[in-house]
Amino acid sequence: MEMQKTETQKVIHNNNNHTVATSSNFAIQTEKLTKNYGRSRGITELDLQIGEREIFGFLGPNGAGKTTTIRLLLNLIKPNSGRALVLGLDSQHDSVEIHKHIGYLPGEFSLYPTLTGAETLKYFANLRGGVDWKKIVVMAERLELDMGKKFRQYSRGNKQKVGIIQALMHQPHLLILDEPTSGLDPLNQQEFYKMLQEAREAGSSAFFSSHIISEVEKICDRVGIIREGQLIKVGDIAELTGIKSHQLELTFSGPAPVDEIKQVLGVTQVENDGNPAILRCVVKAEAFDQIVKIASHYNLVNFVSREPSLEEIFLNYYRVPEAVK
Amino acid sequence: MYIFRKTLRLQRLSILIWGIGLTLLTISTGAAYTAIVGGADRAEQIASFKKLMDSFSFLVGKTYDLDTYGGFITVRLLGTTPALVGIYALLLGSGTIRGEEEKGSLDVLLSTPHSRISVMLQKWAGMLVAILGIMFLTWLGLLAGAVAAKSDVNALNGLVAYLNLSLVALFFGTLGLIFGQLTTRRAAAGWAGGLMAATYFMNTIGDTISGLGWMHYLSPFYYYNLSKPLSVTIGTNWGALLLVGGLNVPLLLAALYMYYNRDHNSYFQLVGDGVAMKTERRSTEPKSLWLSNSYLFGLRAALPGAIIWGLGISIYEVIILGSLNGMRESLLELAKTDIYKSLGIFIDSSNESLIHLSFFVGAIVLYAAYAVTQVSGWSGEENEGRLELILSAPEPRWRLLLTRFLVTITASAIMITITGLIFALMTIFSNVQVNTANVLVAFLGLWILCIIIAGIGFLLSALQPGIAVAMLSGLVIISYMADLLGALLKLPEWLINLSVFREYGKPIVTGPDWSVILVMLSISGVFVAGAAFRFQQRDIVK
Repeated sequence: MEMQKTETQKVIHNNNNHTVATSSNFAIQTEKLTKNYGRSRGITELDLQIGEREIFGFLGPNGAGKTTTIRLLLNLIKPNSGRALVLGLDSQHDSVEIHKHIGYLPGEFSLYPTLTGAETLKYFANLRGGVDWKKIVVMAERLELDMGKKFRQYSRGNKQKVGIIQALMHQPHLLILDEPTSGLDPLNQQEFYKMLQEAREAGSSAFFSSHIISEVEKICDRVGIIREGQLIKVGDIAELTGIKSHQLELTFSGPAPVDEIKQVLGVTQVENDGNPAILRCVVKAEAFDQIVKIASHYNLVNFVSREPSLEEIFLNYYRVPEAVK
Repeated sequence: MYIFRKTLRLQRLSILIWGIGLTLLTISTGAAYTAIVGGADRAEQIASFKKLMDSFSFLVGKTYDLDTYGGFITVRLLGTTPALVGIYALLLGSGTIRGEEEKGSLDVLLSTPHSRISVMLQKWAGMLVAILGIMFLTWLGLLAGAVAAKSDVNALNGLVAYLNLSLVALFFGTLGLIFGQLTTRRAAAGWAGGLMAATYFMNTIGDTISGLGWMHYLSPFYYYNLSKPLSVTIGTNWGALLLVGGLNVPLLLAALYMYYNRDHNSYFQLVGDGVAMKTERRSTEPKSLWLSNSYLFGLRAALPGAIIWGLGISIYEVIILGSLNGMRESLLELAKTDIYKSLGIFIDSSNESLIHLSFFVGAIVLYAAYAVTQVSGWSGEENEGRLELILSAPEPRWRLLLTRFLVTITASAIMITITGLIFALMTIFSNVQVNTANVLVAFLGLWILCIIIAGIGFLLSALQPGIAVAMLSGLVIISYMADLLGALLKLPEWLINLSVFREYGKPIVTGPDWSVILVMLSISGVFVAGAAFRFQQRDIVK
């Protein structure tokens, strides 16, 4: 795939009065991005595009390559081949410029145990420059973080809050977050979602990895699913969860027309669970009308249609290797 | 016993590396023994070597039975090896419990049906067996060295010697374990290391300088040295050996008490009721200057260490300069020996020469060790995962590395300035006349030495952060030994000249050699540039 070229030159401004001319309409764009770790897996030829003001969820099991992708975007590790553009800039060559406009929360991080939360955030604010302390205070209050405690005294959740605040405090143009709600209680998770939505409304994009499918379903515009280092599915939530596939359960007064329905294109997983009167199948949107027409020729007792949740789709991708293809 | 086995399993690589390293050292020492005693002028060689070793008695202790393989090994290795194995032990001890708390791995372990007492005891036992394992491999090296040297050695006495060594090393490991109940892993290692260096010199100085003999009673190395099982003349002092081992018991009990009575992920409070400090919710903006940039932030972190090291070395200066006039005659006597002259350590009978011998020859290792700790701090930032967030700030990697290098050389300058000022004051108070310009150059040279060691360390960290400190420590030890004993071991001159300690020279005696200083600074610049280049290019360790 050829990297799409510039449509327009844009200038990003943020609170730090940093400006950067970007040459892409994408917040993140990767082209055949590959990272090998010897015998262990990394990522392979990852092609990904994340738009401006988009919240993109990156799903995958442990070791699938989520963190590797994120660390490549941050230039913490170097690709074996391919490249990534972040805000239109090359992630390897322009990383300093990129870092001015992004907020990053690693999946695991360590900070200075003897500094208080306030000192930690002040130090990171000074490293970036131009951060309004009042914003830090407001975020700390929203997340109920006591900034007077030393970092080593914090619980896991409170450490995560320090990480979230340092990622958001400079109102970055792009947020790159590795499992951001890990360790947060449900109330603080909700507050974080609000903060993320507010960042999007202020013009930010977000790329975040997660294991929590319900949160991805709730706040993301689009989702990418990665498996064994390969991107196996990208789509918007509606596309993945809605019209594309319905789970049907049809109950007839007599034997179900199993063979007839199996012939229809777009129908999969036809089964009757030992009861010849009941037929279950997964139907793609374009085949839905035909199934209804076939059923109308028989004495239909009950008809149940259900859209699968993202979780079911996600699990399906990992249970059925063929789904990758 | 699962925790014990797990502790030991985690140490298997270290046991092998340390064991094989010490084994090779022992075998090579056996070869040196053959070279010295194998020649026609055997008696003369041994006599010369004894004089040499006697002159370093403030480092290696007194010499006995040099004409036997066991005595030779005792003098050459068993005086200094406890400090080496002690480093391994104290790093392990300070990392035990505290290190795992800092990593978060202890939470899971404590959720299993094991009491804290059981956890600590099993881990301590793992440390003991790890040290014994290293010493067992070294004992095999002793036997192999005896075969190579075609000499007899009493294998059982060898076992006792290495048991004695294990127990004194374990003392510092247990000390690290105690300090780990009071402070962070890194600080605990620093405290235990500082105490080990102090007690080591307290023993050797107490042995060497009349009037300061009381000092060695305070050092575990004194009781360790009362037993020399491989030396026929001295033999084993079972009481002293049991005392060395017994010293571990109260320390272990204290560590158990502290661990049992403190909160997990907290420190034992020596003063107060052990309740965590009450903190208030605060939103006040910190105004500290230290937080304003990476340089000042790094300097703030390095400053306490610089001051502690500076004051620690200053104690050494105070002892040496305070007793220099009293030691003059014995030092001048040593200077007359041929071997001394041939090594070029002693130039003349000036105060500068005496100070070089009695202070700079030994203290230079401490300055070098300080530089290694600074490199350890830098590589630790990456190994402990702190760079993950720091590198997301808009600052190029090379600039971060150079900033941290600048912090290192500034902290070294502060540490050396402290020791230089106290040195100057002591020369005045002790009425020791010295060439001021040469003293300044000598301390400047120490700073250059720290810079070049830091430069090598930063380059190694840029190449392999996980093993950089171990490699740098090895290089420093080899470099020091090459300079000190290179002539005796008949090493080629070009090889000895690669030693940074050789390049440091004897500036307090000879004055400045600006060309060498410029070359060393240039080489440091090349190392740091290489480090910055490599650090820019490679993956950050997670």
